[in-house]
Amino acid sequence: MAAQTGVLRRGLSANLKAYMFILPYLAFFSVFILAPLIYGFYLSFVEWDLFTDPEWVGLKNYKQLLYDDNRFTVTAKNTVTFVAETVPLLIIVPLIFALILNRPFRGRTWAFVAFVSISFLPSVPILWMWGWMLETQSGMINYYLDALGLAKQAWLSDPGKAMWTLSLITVWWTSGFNTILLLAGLQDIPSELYEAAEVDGASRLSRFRFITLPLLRDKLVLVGALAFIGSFKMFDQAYILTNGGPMGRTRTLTLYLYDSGFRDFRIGKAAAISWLMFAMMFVFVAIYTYLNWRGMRRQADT
Amino acid sequence: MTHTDLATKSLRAMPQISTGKVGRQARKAVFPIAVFVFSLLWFAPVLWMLSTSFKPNADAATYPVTWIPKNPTLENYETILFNPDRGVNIVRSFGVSMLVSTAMVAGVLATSTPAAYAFARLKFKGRNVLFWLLVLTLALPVQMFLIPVYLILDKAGMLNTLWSVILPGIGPAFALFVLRQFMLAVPVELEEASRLDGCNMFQTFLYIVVPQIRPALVSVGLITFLNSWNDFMWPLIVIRDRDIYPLTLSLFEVRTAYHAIFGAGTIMASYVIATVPVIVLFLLAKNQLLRGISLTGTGVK
Repeated sequence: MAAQTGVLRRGLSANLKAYMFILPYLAFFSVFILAPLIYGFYLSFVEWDLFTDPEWVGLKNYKQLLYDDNRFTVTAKNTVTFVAETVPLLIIVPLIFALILNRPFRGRTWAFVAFVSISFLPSVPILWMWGWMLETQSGMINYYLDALGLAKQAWLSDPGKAMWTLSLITVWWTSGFNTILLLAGLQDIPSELYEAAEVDGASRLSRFRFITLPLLRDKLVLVGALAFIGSFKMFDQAYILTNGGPMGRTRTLTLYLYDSGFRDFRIGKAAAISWLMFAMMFVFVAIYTYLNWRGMRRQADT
Repeated sequence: MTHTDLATKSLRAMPQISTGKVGRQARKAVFPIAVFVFSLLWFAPVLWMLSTSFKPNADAATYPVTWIPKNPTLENYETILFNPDRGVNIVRSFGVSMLVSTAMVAGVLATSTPAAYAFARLKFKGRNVLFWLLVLTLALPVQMFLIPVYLILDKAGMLNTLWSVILPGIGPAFALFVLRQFMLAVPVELEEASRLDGCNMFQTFLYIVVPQIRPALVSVGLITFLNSWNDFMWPLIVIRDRDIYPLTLSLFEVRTAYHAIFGAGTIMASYVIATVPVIVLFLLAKNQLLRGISLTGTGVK
């Protein structure tokens, strides 16, 4: 850092030149990030249907959502359920894939393509593909269940199953990206460590426990965070496959926000939902950071 | 671990963990087969999509499940590619998606790269405050922007135009953050030398810095492209006019509004048209992607 400043001429002209480098980006940032943030916060305190003038109502939107809106409570619970179902699997499955792909074997490239490429495919084809395969009467999955002598399942229309179905589809769909991150992490672990451990007679399991896991920690934390962010904002799966049903059991917060804002034109309510989502996320992040920090300290102690 | 170390790694260069013991030979032989079978099962839905797209519609939805089409045909592709008068024009949407995604990549790289350079190398008033402000906004959920950005675009008269899909995508600081992390890891000596040789700041940036960070530009461009190509929710919100539907919206409509007209085989053909470019891009760039994403990862450390 110190070295490069020596070359720069200090003072106003250096400042000016630097600003010229950031100005184009800053323009977009101001219009599409900063201004919307402030504007959205203001909107959460008004009632507005886009046709009449916005009316200031103070905390009414928030109060209604939190105390009088059963639907909000249910969608919040659905969202948490989806997060709780997907996040652990979106760490474990990619970890298994990465461990497999980190070994040399014949057909590795194909396995890499099969596991990873799926997560880059667009939602509509992938989700409808599954919707079709999971159809109760004519779907392929039930065809095979039937062939095995098992009962056909109403994967997407049984209120008790629908969310789990969406969760598992999501794990299938998005594990690939996390696999890349973990695989890169595994490749950063020096192979000498494993060689030394083997000389010392460490078993495969203890090599995993005492070398792989601790050294992969940062990446696992990152993958967990990404999975959380992705699952918390879930929209496509519910909108495309179930439209929130059956009986509202797969209606997520984002879907509720979308319906409130862009279907019912209740702008203030939708904005308030988005800020409540932010608050929820903030709480989760605080807990996650605390756990991570405690884990790090414990690791440092031992 | 420096970035250049990472850059020399390829997918092939793996740590060899030898098991040594003879008793494990058998397991070693089984392992590739087990992985192959499992990966085939995992990938089966995509293969099923491919297979169905070559079946005539009459065969497509019938029991029993057949993986190899009995009467393979290209008529589904013909319907999609050459009969665009059935309400949904997949070919046109393909072009729209291409245009939108390319424009977004260009916009993101053109604005974020110089900004990343300024944050990595130049000293100016307010640099740190501004940088942390940008990074903080990265942590905000996208939902917070849906309503206000929609209204801002409405006021600007840009709703229902391609601008409303392209421009907001340039706002997030993701690319800037990744590129800055990458630049910090590039040695500064070359830039100093070029300055001493009489290059001005812009020339140094353009001729010295940009070529050095090419791998990062490619990865960031790739991720931006795929995100835009796959985006469904935002176009759903801002685009009403069918003539400028990106691919995701057209595909959605093929299934919802025209199911009866098109039939399963034709629908799957339209899905193949949407997914094949992504898979090809993935195959071309898989090593690059592995490297680039690992860079992104180390940047976060």
